[in-house]
Amino acid sequence: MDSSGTWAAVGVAAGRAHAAVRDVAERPSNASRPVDLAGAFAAVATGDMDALDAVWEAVAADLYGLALWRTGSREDASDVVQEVFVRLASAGPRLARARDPRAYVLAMAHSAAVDLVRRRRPTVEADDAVLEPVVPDPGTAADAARASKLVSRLPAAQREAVYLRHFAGMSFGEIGSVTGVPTFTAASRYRLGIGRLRKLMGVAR
Amino acid sequence: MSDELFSGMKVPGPPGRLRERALRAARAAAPEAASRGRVPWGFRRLDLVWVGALLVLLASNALLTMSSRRAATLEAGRAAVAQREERAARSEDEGDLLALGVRLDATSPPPAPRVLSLVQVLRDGS
Repeated sequence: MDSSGTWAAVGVAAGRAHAAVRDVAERPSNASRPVDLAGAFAAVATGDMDALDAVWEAVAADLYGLALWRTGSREDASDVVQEVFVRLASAGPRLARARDPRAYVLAMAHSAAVDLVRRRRPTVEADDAVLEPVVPDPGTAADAARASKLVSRLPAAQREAVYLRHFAGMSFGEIGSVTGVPTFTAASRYRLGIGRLRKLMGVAR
Repeated sequence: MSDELFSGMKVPGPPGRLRERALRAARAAAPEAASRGRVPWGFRRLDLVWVGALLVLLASNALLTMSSRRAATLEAGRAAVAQREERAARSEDEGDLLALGVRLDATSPPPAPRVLSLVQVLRDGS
């Protein structure tokens, strides 16, 4: 089966799952979680470490996804998430001043992931799957594995922009503040990344 | 829309054991952060060390400046006294030489000791 046929078949076969994924992907950032997250941040800032559970519920999936797409390694992504929580617990009163808690923790994850990749030995292969099928199915699983390989061919900054835009539902301005670049650069990275992915996957615009 | 690129796929979630591991590590790090917060005025230890080093530097600078200024004043005083004594001795010698009919101009070096002793002998003899 050629690549465009593969992707078309995936789209048809996983229609309902696709809708669910799109709901997640298009979820506006800061929709329902920030109030809880801000409260949890305030509690952690005053030394209430039980509030870390609420922080985990709110952002762990986003953190892990971002770290996985940035580092390409599940083990590294786990280390990044742990590092972020250690930094959160050590941050103290600074946490209470975070204007956008979700962007704040994602920026922490970005920074930790960049540090980790810089420290990592260059011989280490980091090409773990960054995508998996919504519905367990051998065909879709194979497509997801192939898509993961294609995603891993993108530069890390573009992968990260695609993840934040597509799966974390962030605006380009928010992506810029998380990754420490201007909005224009964030938008440019996303468009370059998604354009290249389309070409690699053989999907028409 | 780019959604079709990832249709039927999702990003893997964090592994089950990670939650416990990460939260345990975070809670272990918390007491260290709390002890850091006990340092007065919200300073961290390194901040205090830095401020202490700066104060020592400023105090040392002030002490050195004061002592060198005092030494310079003493030196200037000694020089002034020596100059005045020399000038007084010179005028006395000039008076003796003048009595013998010898005149020194302003640029002449001070009379040599042998000349002065000769003047003394002559004066005592007369």
